[in-house]
Amino acid sequence: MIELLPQILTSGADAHAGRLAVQDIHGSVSYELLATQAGELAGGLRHLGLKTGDRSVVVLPNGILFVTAHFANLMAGAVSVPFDASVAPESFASMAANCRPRFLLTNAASAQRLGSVAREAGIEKVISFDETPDALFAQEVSSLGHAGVFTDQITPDSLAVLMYTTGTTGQPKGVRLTHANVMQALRNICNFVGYGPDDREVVTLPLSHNFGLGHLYCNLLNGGAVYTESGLTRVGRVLENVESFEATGFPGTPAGFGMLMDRYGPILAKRGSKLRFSVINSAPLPPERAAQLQALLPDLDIMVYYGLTEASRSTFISLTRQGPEYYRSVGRSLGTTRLAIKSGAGETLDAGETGEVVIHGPAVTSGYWENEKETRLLLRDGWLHTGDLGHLDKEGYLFITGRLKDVINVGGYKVNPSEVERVLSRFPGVLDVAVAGVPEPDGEVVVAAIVADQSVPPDFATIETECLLQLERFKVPTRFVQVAKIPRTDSGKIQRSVLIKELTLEDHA
Amino acid sequence: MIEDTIKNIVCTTLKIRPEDCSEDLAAGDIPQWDSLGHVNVLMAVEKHFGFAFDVVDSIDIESVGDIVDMVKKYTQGGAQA
Repeated sequence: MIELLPQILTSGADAHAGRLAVQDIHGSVSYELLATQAGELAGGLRHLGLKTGDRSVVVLPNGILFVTAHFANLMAGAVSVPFDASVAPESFASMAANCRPRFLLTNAASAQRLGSVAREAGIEKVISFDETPDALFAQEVSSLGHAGVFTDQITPDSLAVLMYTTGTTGQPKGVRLTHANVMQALRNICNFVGYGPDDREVVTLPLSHNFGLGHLYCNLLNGGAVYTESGLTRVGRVLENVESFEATGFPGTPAGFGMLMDRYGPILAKRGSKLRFSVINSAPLPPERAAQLQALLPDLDIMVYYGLTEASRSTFISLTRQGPEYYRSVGRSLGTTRLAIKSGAGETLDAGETGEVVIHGPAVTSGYWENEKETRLLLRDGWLHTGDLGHLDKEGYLFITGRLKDVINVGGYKVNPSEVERVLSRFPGVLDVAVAGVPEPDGEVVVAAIVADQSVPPDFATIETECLLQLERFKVPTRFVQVAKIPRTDSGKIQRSVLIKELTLEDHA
Repeated sequence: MIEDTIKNIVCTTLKIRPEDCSEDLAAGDIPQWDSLGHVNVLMAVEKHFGFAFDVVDSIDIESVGDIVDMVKKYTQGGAQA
């Protein structure tokens, strides 16, 4: 049984040597070639002094080079720290100050952009996959040492990956994930989705996040293949690859699928007609969107899950198999993962009662890297406290209803912003929406930030009138603000604290 | 003229400086031109010229130059506006 992440590649090379493993816009690699290249780079990294347990950062866009660099870190026995390719220097500095990485694997553009920050943070070696005077050349590094897997001192409980999450509060935290944590989450996904060697997925989600990286791992664990590029920006090329790569899977976000259906629906239907499944996550999938996608692709198995970087894939559900009645659910717990709903006083609540969702199980992190304060808040009484509000039904299906910290207090009345957002998102002309509680002298007020469709601008007066019919009066926004963009994390979650700051500043402008 | 109009729409929509907007500038080249920015650019062009791109035409538009070519196709004969 595979217990360590590097074994995904080494076992894959043994079992599926010549089969396609990863393809990107530049080319493709087989399992054997990928394992060889990652092993050679791992040897080079060890030769340059990278030791077991050292942190080594990857800043690269989705592609074969990202996969090679990430697995090279793992094969070298290091803790891999994948970071978004567009990471701002300030965020990079904050992360580096926290986990003190020794190496950075990147490309010429990022080596130039982050070089001075990396040096100030004490990063000893910057290694680039393009030749650049700002860094060592990866190809030369790969020829320095002896190719291999340097995991003699690594056990399943060793730290494998640090995943930095800005969360919804803004301050980056390094989520500690052991080999055992990740492998348990992968077993959960593989068992539920039913991956096989004939599966091929188009992954445009960032590989620097658990959602995208998980789909890469699952395919490689099962002899499948992945075509990957960063995001849906080149939407024509992505949908072309869904068809030409003969993809069976196409994971995405609700916002991404919303854009594809609204703007390119007929092409998605045509080029995606062979898709077997799509896992959709990062934000709640509105039931009407699930129905729209199912109508567009009737044979598609639409799956959603609930998980945090800190507790990956804790539940799963096939909306297709369960039907519209469950479109608001995120599924039941998987494997040995346990879920409960707790009251503010810490009591376990019964089915149907709303409280904080808490999780226990082998995929749950042991905490944040060198951040005891946040770790103590996260892990209490043997449970991971998610900060999400929800309830379980009698069969154990979980329904998420909001965020504990996001609840707006309007003169003592509690408003769940997610409920208001669900109503607002149904109006024509509303492309994206976020609701937040903005502090005013007499307390918080509900404010809606709306990204408007420029061709059919929404009529805020009508929306307000309609809201009064659909929501209690205290839940109806007192102000509607048109914005260019809703601040979201890389994985698509609303950064409500950032939004509140923006809306408060606007108040005082 | 169409070139200047398109560049102006792209700059206004993506909030970038005119000197940063060449015909080669394409989706994904700058953070502002992400998938949402791309849709906003196409909608702004459609609104300005008063037509909607056919989905088959719009799917492969990637750069400022692609938009210029497509608008010419719609305004100077060829495709149905």
